Parts: sequence; structure tokens; C-alpha cells
Amino acid sequence: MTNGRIGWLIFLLAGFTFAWLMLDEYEPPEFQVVRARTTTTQQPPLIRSEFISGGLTKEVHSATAVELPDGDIGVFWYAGSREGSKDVAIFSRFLKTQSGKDNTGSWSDVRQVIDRAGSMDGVHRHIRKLGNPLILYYQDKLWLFYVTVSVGGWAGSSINLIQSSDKGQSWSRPRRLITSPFLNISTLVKERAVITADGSILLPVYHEFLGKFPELLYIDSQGEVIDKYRISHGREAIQPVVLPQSKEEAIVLLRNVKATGSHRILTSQTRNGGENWQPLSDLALPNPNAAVSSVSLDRPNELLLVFNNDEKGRTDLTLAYAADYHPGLSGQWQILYEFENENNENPEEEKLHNPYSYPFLVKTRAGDFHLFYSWKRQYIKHVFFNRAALDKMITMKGNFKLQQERGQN
Amino acid sequence: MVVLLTAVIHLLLPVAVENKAIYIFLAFLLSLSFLLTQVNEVPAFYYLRGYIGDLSVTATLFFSASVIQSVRGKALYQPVEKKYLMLLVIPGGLFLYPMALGVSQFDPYRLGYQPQILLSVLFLAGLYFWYKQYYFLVFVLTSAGLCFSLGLLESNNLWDYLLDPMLLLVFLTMALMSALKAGINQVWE
Repeated sequence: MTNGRIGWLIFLLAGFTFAWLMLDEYEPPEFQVVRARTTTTQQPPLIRSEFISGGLTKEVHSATAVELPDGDIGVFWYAGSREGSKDVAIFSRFLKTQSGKDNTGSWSDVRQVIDRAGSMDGVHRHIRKLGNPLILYYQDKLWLFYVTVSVGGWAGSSINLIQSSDKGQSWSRPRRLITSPFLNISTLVKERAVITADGSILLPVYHEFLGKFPELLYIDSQGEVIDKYRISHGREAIQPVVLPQSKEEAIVLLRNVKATGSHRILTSQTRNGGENWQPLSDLALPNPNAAVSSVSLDRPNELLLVFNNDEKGRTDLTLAYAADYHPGLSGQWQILYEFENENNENPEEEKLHNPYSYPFLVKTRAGDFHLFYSWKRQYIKHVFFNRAALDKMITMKGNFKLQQERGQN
Repeated sequence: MVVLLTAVIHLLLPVAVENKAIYIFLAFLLSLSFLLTQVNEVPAFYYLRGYIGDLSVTATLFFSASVIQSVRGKALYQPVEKKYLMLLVIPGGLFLYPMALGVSQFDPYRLGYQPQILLSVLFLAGLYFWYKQYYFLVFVLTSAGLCFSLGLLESNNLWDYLLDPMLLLVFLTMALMSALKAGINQVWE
């Protein structure tokens, strides 16, 4: 063999040996299930609501929220002159809760987090528009994932990440998550991320290009995508809500985007940490091609769900409860409460298309609940209800609102 | 990016000029001026990156080698190596992209995040190319593996170091042009 030939062989062997040695070992994910319910003082049932987006922009949408270690709630949403316009930016607001250090129970001012120009400067790419944000508190930082589009409509979406160590006062430069080989397009976020037992992140995402389908991104503590798991394929379901029930088991609830067939919430389950999922099946609850939000309660398979209880439109926003949910069984869901219903409004008022949408439900460590949603796309509405209210709703089997209206707590 | 745009112009728009260095230089200037132009207060290369993404290691090396060998007049890869590269990239891209975008439950793109299998296949391919003395291909595959392990691109997925839509498009165009040329020659003969 000539020296050149030996040299190329050494280059090949050394190069691939190095590449092999540099591969990171990682364990398949296990879910971290936190079920501790703090027993709070005996409070009366309480539900209150308010608009929080401040009316700064013509249109608002897609709220996401997180509880911080001090009990404060951080809320993020996107807003602009209309969905998809160039002036859309991500905004935030923080609720200082009673249990917080300040003990003020008040909202901070609305603050712009990032806009199109800031995103372009960070990733050195042209960006047409911003979309859904998703907030996570992890490793003493706020992690804000948000959608940007360089080409086309939402099918051209990529996910970006910025982080804040000072409770949203300042943010890191944006960087993109690489999730697709074709120009890194067609990946969006909407619902809550899940922390694994080893301290990594499972980020529920979905595609809207050739297929409309959900996936889980497995992200390490540095924010790098290290694996991904496909929940389903085709053009059936998006916006997965992942609900871990044990180390290996989780339920996913999904927005139904099927062109034909049933208009019901879709569901699936995994028994190996999210790597493999059973085929999608229908839940017994309707879905008008709309996002849902859900949290796990104290016991395994005990779920709380916010959804539009209508097959045709987002004309209501309803709370449902399953004491022991198992996919495939009927009669498990109990309707508890109606936050909104177009039919209850003034009949003279102009009816809007899909007025109540994109719910995002947060369960606090104290066991209370914060719900955020788009109210006629004009405001982000916040509904707080405590555990006592939920317990009473469950006990009264759907008659709670009636009593509320009569002023009987 | 300037060099690569130059290469694309050069590969797709071959012009019969005697002094190729001048032609390359003009293509280089054209690319540079285009990329630095401000469009809506944003550099034009922002748009280019937004539309076509970043190039893979394979594309970078192939385009660069094509430009260099054109200027120097000395072959850096054999014609058969280009054919092999096209045979790897065209079916690879036409398989990978639809599958990754949800056509089936199987997602080959996932193999690139934890790429033990993909690296093994590349190594075997590298050994074959070494045996056949296709050293440019050995260089391309080993460089892609090395760049991946060093995290030199934005992506954490080995597939993005191996191929990209721009390379697929250029190879498809070249294959189409070759087929048309062969067809025309056949008609003339």
C-alpha cells in the first residue's frame, strides 16, 4: 500500500473512532410524577376571573403560564394587530400571589419579551412572524420556547428558545431547536413540557406541514435536542397535552384535526416513558378542532380537563373531571363547570367565530388552579379557582355554577 | 456562504468562457454584493438563511471542491465519486424528508440524534470507498462525522451534517440536466 492510501485509512479510522467516542450516552426517559398536595387552610370555595392582557394590542392569543418557586405565576402570550402579522410579539405578566414574598396578590405591568426584530438578530435569519409561546421553569431559569416562521404559514414554523435567570427582566439571545431535516420547518409548541426523572425535558410539539401529528422532543439540561419520539403520524392530531401517571406511563390528550370522521378529543398512552405510543383513539368528549388543556390531580389517572364542549365551534369553555381515567372506557368524564358559554351572553351582542380558545391550565403546589385562555382574541382571561371550589364542583356534579350564580358558595 | 453561492451559480449556470478564474471571480462578486445588500433593513443573507437553511458538511465540501477544481483545473474528485455522492444524496433525501415530515410512524431523522447505527453505516461506506480509492468520499464522510461530534453546525443531528435540501435540489437539477443531455444526444445520434 502507498503512504497516501495508508494515510486515508488512518484518517478514516481515527475520524470515526473519535466521533464514536464523543457520542453521549443517555438513558431512556422516565417521567417525574409530582403528586404532593399541600394541605392548605380550610378556605371557602372561590372562583374569580379577570382580564390580564391589558388591551395594548388589537389581538392576543395562546397564553402559557408557570408557577415559580416563590408561588408567583408567570404568564406569557403573543399579541399584535392580528395573528401572523409582522408586529406580533411575545408579552409577559407576573402575578404576585398571596403566598409570595411580596404578599401583594397583584399583577406586574405587561412587558414585551421578544419581537420579530429581536428574534432575527438572535438567529441571523429572516423571520416573518412569531407564534405560540410555551413557558417552563427549570434549573432556576425561565425557559421560553416560542414559534417563529421564516417561510410560508404555520407549516413553516421552527421552535426557538430564550432563557431568563432574573424572572423575566432580561433574556438570553434566541437560538433555534433543530427538529426537522427539511429546512427545520414544521414544528410548533403549545402545551406544557414534562420534566423527566433524570432532569431532562420532554417537550410536546406538533407538525403542520406534510403531516399534522404530535411528537415529543427529548431535550437535555443544556437545551439540546437529544432524541424525539413520534406519538402518531398522518393528519389527525396536534397540540399534545402529556400527563405522566407513573415513571413509565403517560396519557396524551390531543386536538382533533381530522378532515373527516369523529370530532372528539383524541388520546393515546405510553408505557415506556414516551418512546412508543398506542394508536390514537377517541375520548368521549367533543372537539371542534380546538386546543385542550389538562392537569393530573392527586391520584393516578385522576385528571382535570378544560375544553370546548361542542363539536362545531369554540363557543364555550368547560371543565371536566375524571376520577380514574382509562382510555377506551366510556362514562368516565364528569362535566363540572362552564367558564364561558356564548349562549349565556346578551343575544343582541355580535357573535364572534370561535370566541373562547387555547386554554392553559396550571395546578399550583398548594393545590389551587389558574386557567388562562383567549377571550374573543381580544384579551387573555385569567380564572382562579381553589381546591375547595374543585372539591365542591365534584361533589355537586355540575350544579356548582348554578349555586355560584345564586351567590351560594 | 459567498463561496457556496458562487459554487451553485457555477454548477447550475455553466458558461463557456476561456478564463474560468474570471468567471468564478464575477460569480463571487455577484454573490457577495447580493448577500450584503440590505432588504427591508435586513441583510439579504438573513433571507437566504431563512429560506434555504444552512448547508451540510457534504454540500460545503462538494461545492467548495467544485469551485476550487474549476479554478485550478485539477480534479479534486473523480466523476464516479460525484455519481456515488448523487446516488447517496438523492434517494437519501427523497426518503428522509417525507418520512421525517410525518408520512409514516417511522421517523428516520431520529436515527441522527443518537447516531450509533448511522455512524456504523457511514463507517462501512467509508471503508468501501477507501477500498475503491474514492478518497474524496472518504474525506466527506469522515469530515461529516467529525464535524457532528464537534457540534460545528447548529444542529445536533447527524443527518444535517450529511445532506440538506439545497444539495438535494442541486443534485436533482444536475441529474435532470444530464438526463436531458443524454436524451438529446441520443436523438441526434
